This record gives sequence, structure tokens and C-alpha cells, in this order.
Amino acid sequence: MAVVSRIARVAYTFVMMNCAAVAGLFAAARGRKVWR
Amino acid sequence: MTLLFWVSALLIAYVYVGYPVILRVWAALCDRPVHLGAGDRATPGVSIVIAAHNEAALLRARVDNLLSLDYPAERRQIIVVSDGSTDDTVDVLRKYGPLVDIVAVEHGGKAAALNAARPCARFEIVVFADARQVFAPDALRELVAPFADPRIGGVTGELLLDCESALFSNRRDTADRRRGHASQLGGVAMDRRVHADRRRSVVSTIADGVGMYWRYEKELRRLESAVGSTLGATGAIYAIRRALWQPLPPDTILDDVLTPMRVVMAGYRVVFNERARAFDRAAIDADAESRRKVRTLAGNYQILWLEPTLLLPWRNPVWIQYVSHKLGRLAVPYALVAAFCTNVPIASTHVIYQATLVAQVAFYLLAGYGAVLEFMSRGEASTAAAEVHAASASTAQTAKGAA
Repeated sequence: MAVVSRIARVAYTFVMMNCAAVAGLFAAARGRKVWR
Repeated sequence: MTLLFWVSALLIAYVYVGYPVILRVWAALCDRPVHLGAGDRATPGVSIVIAAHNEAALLRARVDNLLSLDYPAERRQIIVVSDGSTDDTVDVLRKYGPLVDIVAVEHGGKAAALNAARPCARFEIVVFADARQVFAPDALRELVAPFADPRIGGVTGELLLDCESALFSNRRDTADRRRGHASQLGGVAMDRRVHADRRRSVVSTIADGVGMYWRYEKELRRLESAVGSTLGATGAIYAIRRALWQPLPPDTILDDVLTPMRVVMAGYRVVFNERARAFDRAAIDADAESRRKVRTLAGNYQILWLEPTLLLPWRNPVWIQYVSHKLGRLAVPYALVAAFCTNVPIASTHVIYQATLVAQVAFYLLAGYGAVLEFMSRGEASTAAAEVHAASASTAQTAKGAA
């Protein structure tokens, strides 16, 4: 069970990071101030 | 449809598996060692630059950490740029007198703050650091050692997150002892470690994934360094030759990618020295980590129009690595969507496609379960964060009283 939980956490992080990549594109395109 | 599925699947596999394997073979065949310095050449003059915006609460510990490093004081300059701070940042720094050069500018973002520090740097090597992290005692020596090799234009150190190793809290306590506060802090330091342990235990949902991802990234960085140059640096700990320091466009998001890539484009190597260590905490929850990733990925897109020559193989000495690593990561989210959407209609045509569809569904169900674990632990993490914050405030109060 611990192994499944760990894999689930890694899978979630992977998906979350890829969603962030898409959000990053929109943020960059709209010139949103994500850096200050 | 089938073609699009395979292109998407192979792209994902190449970016996350194929490229690291190719790099490993490449590094085994063509390792390019760095000649480290000795004697006086091992301790060139360094100007340490920190851009800070309302970081008064962190700067005292940060400057103390820098002053305690194992490095000749006469060869070290500390520059802190206050980027329009409205708290006590400048007052905290003034207490250090001539030990810290203060540059106060209007709030213009980190890139503008770093630009403001440029005329003040008087030594040949410029070290960039942040207000939050802590350097290991020998970090500066290790960071500058590769500059003895004239082909080296930049060096990035290693950032260790607390979720990677229990070493973090031990290092922090060691740093406290080196500053001579241990006798005053005593039990408070122990309390802080207990709180930090508790924090680690409850935030492990995101920290597990981030820790693994960060280790994977550092392995890529090590291999890329071995075959030529890394594709960026760790903002918390990197250094370049002052002669190669170019002003950044004011809205630059990732100074720690643009600056090293410019060094590479100038014909120098930027290498990774994992013995130069800084320590930091992983984001406490998925939202914070997500915001950090959005910023990073937005920065990677931005660099494409700030430095478009990176896309030209005859201008960029690390073009293959750049396309495989940086551009590949930008393309993967869309490849994931394409791989899933194209897999559904072709699943009935062959058992292989049924298996890949089952694997994808299983993966996303696992990710959903991971999300549930994250949301369940979030409330507990908030409580722990409040406790850690209270413990830190108590520690600061005690230290102030002791001083």
C-alpha cells in the first residue's frame, strides 16, 4: 500500500507539473507578472 | 491517428527516458573533466549578489551564513540589493556596516535588482544567491574551484531540498553552532528540529514527487555538465565570471537560465559542481509547487523570445541538449493529451493499443489518488506550518533576547 501511495504521489506531481507547463504558456503569452 | 499516437508516445519516452540514456552513454564516452584550482587560484575574489524584496526576517541569518563561510574575508564581497523593500530590510543590513554593500532601488523585479548590483561588483567571480537558502561552509570554495580552468565561464552548485535528506536539518543546526548561537538557543533549536520533522512528515505527498523529480533533474544536469554545459543554473547557488555578466532584460523571469545560457553562447562551459551545496525547503503544498512550476515554465517560454538564437544549431553549442531537455519538457503536456485522445479510438484495433490505454487510465487514476492524498494532508500541513512559523518566531525572539 505504501508503494502504491508513493507511486500515486509521483504520478500526481508529474501531472501537476505538466498542467503547470500549460499554465506557464498562458502566463507567458498574457504577460502575467509571475516573476515579481 | 495511429501515427499521431506513436509520435506522441515516442516524444514522451524520448524526453523522460531516451534522452537521459543517450546522455549517460555520451558522458561515458566523452567525459570532459574540469581542472580544479589549487593555492591562490583556488580562492579568487568573489562578489556575492543577493536580490531581496521585503526579506528582513531572513536576511540576518543569510548574511551570518555568508560571513561564516570558509573563505578569506579579504577576497569576498557581499552585495544585497533591496528591491523596493518596504520592511526593515535595509535597517537589518546597515547593522553589518562595511561587511555588506547595500544597493537600494525602486521595486522593479529581480532582474532589474541584479542589474543594479552589476556596477558594484569588484571581484572577478560573481556568485548569485537568494535570501532564503543556506550555504554549506565550504560551498564558496567548491563553487569557485572550477574557474581555475579558463574554459569554464560558469558554475552551478547543488540545491538540497529538505525532502531529499535529513542532512538539511543537521546542516542548519551545524550552521547555528558555527554562528555561536547554539548555547543561547539550546532547546529552541531542538524544538525547531522537531517541528521541521513534523512538517516533513505531513508534507510528504508533494515532497515525495518533488524530491524524486529534483534528483532526476540533478542527474540530468550532472550528465549535461559532463558532456559540455548545463542548460541553466540553480538560482540559489551559481557563479559566473564578471566579464561575462550581461545586463538582463528587466522582466526576465529566469535569470538563472538566461545568464548561464549567455555564458554558453559566448563559448564557455557552465558546469555543475555537486560539492557546492545550498539547502532549502520544498514547497509546503502542491499549490505552492504549482505556482513555482508555472513561473519556471513561463520563463522557459520567455527565453525563446529573449534569446531566439538558442534555436539555431549553428549558434547554440548545446542545441541537442536544449531541444531535448527544455523544449521537450514544453512539448510533453500536449503529447500526453494527444497520446490519450488518439489511443481511445484505436484501442479496439490491436491488443497493444488496449494495453497502452489501460496503462494510461491506470496512471491517471493513480494521479487522482495522489491528488486525494494531497488534499487530505493539506489541512494537517497548514496546522504544522503554523506551528513551525510559531516556533521560528519564538526562536527569533529568544535569539534577540539572548543578543
